[in-house]
Amino acid sequence: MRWKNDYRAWLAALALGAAVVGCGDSTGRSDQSPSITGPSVSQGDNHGTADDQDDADDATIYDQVDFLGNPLVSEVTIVKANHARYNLTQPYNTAEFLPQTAAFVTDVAGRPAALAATLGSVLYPDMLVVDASKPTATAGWLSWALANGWGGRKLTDDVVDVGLTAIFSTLLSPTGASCAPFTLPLCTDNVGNNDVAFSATFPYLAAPHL
Amino acid sequence: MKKPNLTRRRVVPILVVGGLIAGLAAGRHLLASDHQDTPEVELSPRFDVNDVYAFPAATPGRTVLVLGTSSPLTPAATPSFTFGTKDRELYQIKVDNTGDAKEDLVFQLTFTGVANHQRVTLHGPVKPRQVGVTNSLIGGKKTLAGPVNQVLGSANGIQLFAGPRDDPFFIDLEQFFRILPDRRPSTGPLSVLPTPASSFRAPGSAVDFVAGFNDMAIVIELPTSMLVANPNHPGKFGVWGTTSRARGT
Repeated sequence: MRWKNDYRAWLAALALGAAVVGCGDSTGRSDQSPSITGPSVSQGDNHGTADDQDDADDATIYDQVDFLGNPLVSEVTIVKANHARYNLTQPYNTAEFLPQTAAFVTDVAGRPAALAATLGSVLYPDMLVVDASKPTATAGWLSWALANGWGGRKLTDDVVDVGLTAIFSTLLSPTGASCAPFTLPLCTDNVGNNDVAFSATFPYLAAPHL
Repeated sequence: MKKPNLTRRRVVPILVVGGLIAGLAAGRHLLASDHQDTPEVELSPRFDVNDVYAFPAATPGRTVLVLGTSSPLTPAATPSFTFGTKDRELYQIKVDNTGDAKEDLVFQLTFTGVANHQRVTLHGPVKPRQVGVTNSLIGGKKTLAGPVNQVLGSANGIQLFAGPRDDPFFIDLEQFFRILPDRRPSTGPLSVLPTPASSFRAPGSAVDFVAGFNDMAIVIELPTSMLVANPNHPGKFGVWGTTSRARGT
């Protein structure tokens, strides 16, 4: 349950007005390394030389079918009828759905507009944000925004409870709250862990059920 | 959480005997799908992106990226299940490290071969040829290639695993649908959940819908320095996953 306590702290920090920092920090950057793509071509020589080049098949065009950044954003806050369209977006144009997410928070969940705005600024553009300048011990879904942390999404993150608590609990807005953090009726689904343990080493996900 | 595709329909007959479990499987599949109104995709669970993860690796200075697809996959169906092959499907993990929400780096993963003999090829991280929803293969020298269901690459460089794994997600999906009926699948047992609810269930009654199921996972671990714009001053980056269909297929 330690992670839950972490999230309580993060969400509380946000409620207290901690800065929500967007990912849009590129303005005026001049320190980007042009060689970022360099290492990739020097890796992975553990395959046969006869197999290390792709054929001239570059003419194939692939059209996007599905897209996922943050968990729950489209599944929970976007009405079902619009999911297909959502899947044909990319983070840079997911903002068109921000009003729908805000409407879910205010109209369906019955929460204040200010809370909707806060959540919208964290969830859009819809991608998993990592702040690699922060200690890895602070990794966890939305921690980059809510707790000045590393962010990303860990296998053990209970994103359902975090999302529910952010929307329905007293942490971000005491007004009209449905429940205390991580409690019934709507701030937890009471499924807090995966059914099997994750591995501490690569590839981390547990072996399949067979 | 994300959406399994309707393909579970293919799985459903196997489960039908299982009664409730079968119903749940079909339901989750249908529910999670963003594509239930797109018949061709409903029939193609391989195109379903269920979950994306990004977390620190066990080794300092390294990051793990996960693209989970095809969930929930029943144990019975798992051994013969395959990734979508290159002639039809492209799997990608995309990374923005300049703050404009557009991909600066991509990992392109393609598969060849039939069940139990599939091979995976990784290109990247590398600058994509196109940004956005229409993509083509980077081509050229492969970053990694080899059989699925094996750890490929180097623990000091890029490591890759592609194959069936336990679905890492957990949720009481059935109760979620009772609370928010709009998100229900349009067909299957979960489309007709009888009792609307206004609360999740108590600890003893809540059910992890995904327990016991698998997904087809792609796991990549690499030095974090290969993901950020400036390795000397690591900053923010954003991660998302996509599947794409070869045009004309």
